[in-house]
Amino acid sequence: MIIQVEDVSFCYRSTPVLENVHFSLNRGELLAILGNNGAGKSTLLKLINRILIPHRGTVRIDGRALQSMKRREIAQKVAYVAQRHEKSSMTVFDAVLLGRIPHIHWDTGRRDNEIVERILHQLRLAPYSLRPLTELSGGELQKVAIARALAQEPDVLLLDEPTNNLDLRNQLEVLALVRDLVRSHAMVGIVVLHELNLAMRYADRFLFLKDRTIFAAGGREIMTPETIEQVYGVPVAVHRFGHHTVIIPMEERLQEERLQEQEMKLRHSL
Amino acid sequence: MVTDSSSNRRRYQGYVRRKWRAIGVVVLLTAAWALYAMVAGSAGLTIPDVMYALMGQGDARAQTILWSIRLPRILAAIVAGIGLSIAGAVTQSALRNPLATPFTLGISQGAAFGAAVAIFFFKAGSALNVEHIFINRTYIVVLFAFAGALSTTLLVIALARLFRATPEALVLSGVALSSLFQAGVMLIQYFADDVTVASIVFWTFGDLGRATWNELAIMAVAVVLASIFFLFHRWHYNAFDSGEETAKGLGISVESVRLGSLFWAAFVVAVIVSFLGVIGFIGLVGPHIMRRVIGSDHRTLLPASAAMGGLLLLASDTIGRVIVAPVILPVGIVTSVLGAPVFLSILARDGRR
Repeated sequence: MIIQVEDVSFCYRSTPVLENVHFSLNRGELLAILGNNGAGKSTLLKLINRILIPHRGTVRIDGRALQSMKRREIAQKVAYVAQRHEKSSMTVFDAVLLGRIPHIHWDTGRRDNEIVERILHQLRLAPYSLRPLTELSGGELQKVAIARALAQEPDVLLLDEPTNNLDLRNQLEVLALVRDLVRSHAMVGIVVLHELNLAMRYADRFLFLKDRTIFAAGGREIMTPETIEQVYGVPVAVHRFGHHTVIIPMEERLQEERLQEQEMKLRHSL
Repeated sequence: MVTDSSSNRRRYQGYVRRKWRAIGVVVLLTAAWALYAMVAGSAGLTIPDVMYALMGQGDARAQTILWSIRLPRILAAIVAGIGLSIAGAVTQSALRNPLATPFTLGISQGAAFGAAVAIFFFKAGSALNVEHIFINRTYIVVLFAFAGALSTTLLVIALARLFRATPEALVLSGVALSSLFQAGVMLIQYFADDVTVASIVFWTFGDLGRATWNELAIMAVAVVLASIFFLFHRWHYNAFDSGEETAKGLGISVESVRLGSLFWAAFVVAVIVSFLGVIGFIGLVGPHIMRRVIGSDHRTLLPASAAMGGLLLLASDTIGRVIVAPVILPVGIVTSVLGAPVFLSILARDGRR
């Protein structure tokens, strides 16, 4: 058990955002946090590396409460990829080297450079290493942010909508990489995702947020048409397609239902 | 693949080396300009005169001019330039605002208010006639100016802490307090006599002629202390450029690094301003020129800005000494006159990109 989120609640000013969120994850597991816009997915992610501090409850990593850890200690264990990235004229290499900050004292050394080189290579960013960030596409910038997080050599990898701005190939590549790294390095991965099919394909744990709290959480068995419809308010069909399970929105069914309702109302009023 | 990564590494090392070479060029230019500044002026010294005088030999008059007038002035220009420019670079990063300098936090108005109080209440200004204003009791004025400058900054930081120390809160608090202190200066001027008003105005012109060896030593200590703090945090400033949340995720206590950096930047500029008066634009132009040349990596940008600041202030002061000789223009006027077009040309180049 590496991550334990225990009865965590959080408010922005006086508006409650999350209430009594409770779950835990083991090494090697990749969790997809799912839910509507504004359901508190990003907030939950930020509570796990103390960018935000819970009002109630505790988050533990390897049994240690986050509150009792220094920010630097947290960054040695938890890496975070924000939703938005700011462009500066820094080179790709230097931007990824920033991931070594939690581990260095005065300056980076040979080992830090080697780690960065290896990660740039893994993410196929090596040809760009001397490019300034301002000259990168959105997808490349996203991969640089992920590379920086990996350079922290974390136990826990938090990603806020990492497939934003990525084309199909990069989406698959980035999530496959995250899944493989999580398994091979026995990390924990927590990913906020909007795309249910990507979640199905790469995650092994799922957590639906609705009405400020967990609506459902568990393995593949919870990804039922009923749950998804209740969370998103859109009817879906879940089909097997070769090795893959695909989720298909059936919003036309929703329209049909609405039309039927309207007809009923009209009839009543007549 | 192995060759690929080792050639990448060589290219990166070359890239870093080029930046340090650019800094070396600026340092050499500064040294050359310092030599020119020792020779330039109405005393008619030659390079051999200066060389002998530096070694404590030769003509006694040349030695006096060099050791008690020109050297303190030249070194003060370099030290103050370094301090203003490196503090500017750090403030721009800490406030995430390319137009920020420690003056954004109200330092010049705070210092001017302190000086005005000292001049008004302690009658520290006097005049032979309207053209020759003297500041008596310099140390009282310096102390009051320093207290004014630093307390403004501390107030800004304290206010901003109430609003969670965001860059916006800091800039806005700075604007508010600046105008408050400006009003304070105007109020004093309104009730003061001609000589006091002239002394207050005269004080605000940044002038390197006020520097003596003692003051130079105090400024140098302040600049060295602040620079050590800044260099220690150079990685953190790089992380700030990637956004606040990313910086926090990298284990940086963003608020405390930001406020600590602003404190040291304000401290060093407050020391310089209280001794020399207000010298604008160096903190803006120095870092921006070097950003264009070597990029925004603070590992090299901080030393580069420091070097460029020293060169710029020294060059401005020398120009101010020779351009309408024998009249010596206060360097604060020269930096603003030269700084504005340089700054606009930087902006124009940015705009064309």
